[in-house]
Amino acid sequence: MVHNSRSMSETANEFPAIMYIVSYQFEPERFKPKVQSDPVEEGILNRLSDNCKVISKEHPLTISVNSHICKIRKIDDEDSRTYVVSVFSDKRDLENENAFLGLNELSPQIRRLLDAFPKNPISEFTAMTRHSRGLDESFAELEKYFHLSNKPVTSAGIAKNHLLAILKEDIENAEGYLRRSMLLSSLEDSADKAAAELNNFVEDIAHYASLTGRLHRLFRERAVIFKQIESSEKNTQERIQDMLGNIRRPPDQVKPVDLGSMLTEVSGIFSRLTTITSSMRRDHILARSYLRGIRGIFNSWDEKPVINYPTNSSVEISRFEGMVDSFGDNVDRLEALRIQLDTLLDMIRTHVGIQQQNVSVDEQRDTKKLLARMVNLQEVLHKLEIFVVAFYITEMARLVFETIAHDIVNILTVVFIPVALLLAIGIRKLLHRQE
Amino acid sequence: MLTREEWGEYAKKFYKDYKDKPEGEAKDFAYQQGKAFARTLIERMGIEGDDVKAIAAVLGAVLKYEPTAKVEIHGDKVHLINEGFCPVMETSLALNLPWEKMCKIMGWPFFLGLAHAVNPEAVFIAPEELKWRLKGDPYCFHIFEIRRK
Repeated sequence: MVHNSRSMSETANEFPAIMYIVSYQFEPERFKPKVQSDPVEEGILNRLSDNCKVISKEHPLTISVNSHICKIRKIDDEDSRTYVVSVFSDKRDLENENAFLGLNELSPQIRRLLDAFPKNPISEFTAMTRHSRGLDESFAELEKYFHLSNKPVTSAGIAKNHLLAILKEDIENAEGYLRRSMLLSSLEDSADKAAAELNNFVEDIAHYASLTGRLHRLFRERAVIFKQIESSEKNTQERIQDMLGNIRRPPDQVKPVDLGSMLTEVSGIFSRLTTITSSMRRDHILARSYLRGIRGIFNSWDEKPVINYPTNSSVEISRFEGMVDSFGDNVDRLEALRIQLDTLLDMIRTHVGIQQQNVSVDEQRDTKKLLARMVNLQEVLHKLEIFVVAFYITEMARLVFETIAHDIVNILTVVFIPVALLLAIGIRKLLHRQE
Repeated sequence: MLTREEWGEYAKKFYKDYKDKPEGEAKDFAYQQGKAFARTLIERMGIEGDDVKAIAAVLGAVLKYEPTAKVEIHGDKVHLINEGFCPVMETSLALNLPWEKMCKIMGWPFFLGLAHAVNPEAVFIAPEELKWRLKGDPYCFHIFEIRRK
């Protein structure tokens, strides 16, 4: 008992009582990880109360708050930054009824310090930590905590030499960001080794907080769009049915003006859907990459089940898989609608094509008629041509007859008319031989 | 008469310029843009009067390329109903902008500006109070009203 008491007080300074993990996402163009001053840390330092003392401004930022020590370290991950606050407390001893200290059991100054973090995180994890001596003690402490706090456990498992239990949130996602409360019990005997192992494990949890926070935010931002897709899909389906009804009428009943307005409307919806589908597909790819990262973390933990509890990995992965599947489902729905619209566009185009073909057949028929009329006219002209030529030949012959037989010029001219006609036919044939 | 490309560019620039500025400033800019846009249209199209018909004509011209937008006159009110896939949603999704904010600080003040260019007494009731696709409604419903004194 004496030995235990001493060991626990020795480890009290090395092993944190609570770890507060909070993650923020920045716009990529604004995120400058190499910049020395950190606005969040500066904000915390500016809001420190009188009984707080800065021990070190170097990384990790270390602040003493009454009898507690808070170490704040930051972990960057792509476009997000996660702050891990380790609260070391000497409050914990064996007389304490509950082995795990909750946030509410810490001093108000610590709460004030944690409240100084900006209010727009993507995730906020609270891990109540404990250095136990083996699995049996961990179970016993866990059971005691559940018994006293009456907080149900969602999942639990053994990962990286720690017993990790995730508690059920009172109101899931009420604040708009991802929240997790967990109990973390080290199974390592050596205090130094346990502290080092905890540090590594918490770093993994910080990456997990960043990945799940980003996925959760993406899902929340798109949830309203998923809802809109559902209602607009119905509406667009009805419009497609209307237009299909119009287009299935006999071709002569569909007016070119109607086809034109249908083509404009369908093209507009189609191009809008194309943009939405490709944006949704981009989000789906991003969500899948987050899920891959989450899976990677759980795979590296190689989590072992704890009797009666589902493992953290199975529960958490299935939650996030559900989110990622929503993106995929919506991409499929949009794609199906896009295919329908594409088919409708093809039908309208075919209709326009048929109408154009009909117009050109009519035009061809008209051209043929016009051509026949022109041929007829030409034949008439040719006949007239014979008469004109014959008239001139007769007139020339009359001039000749007047000089050689003046008295019988009229008789000779009349007699000559058939000859003139024959000559005119001969001349016409001679002239048109080339045609 | 904004084409899809012009609209996308406008929304992107607007958000970039105003995301960090006070909401009132952003709304005022969008409102003034709507007013200026409507005045140009009124002049170009020869729209006359300050009644609901003139408001409807301006809205009809602005939403010319919007296939599912319906502008209807009901007494002293103009109903603008836009169903199907929302253009603000499309732009917000494509450019990763917040949809709700885009409606509130850009879309609605712009519409109010359009109506006020015709009649400064016109009242605008936003979809938030009626039907709004962001809430999951199948269409967005806007009312422009000229209240009789």
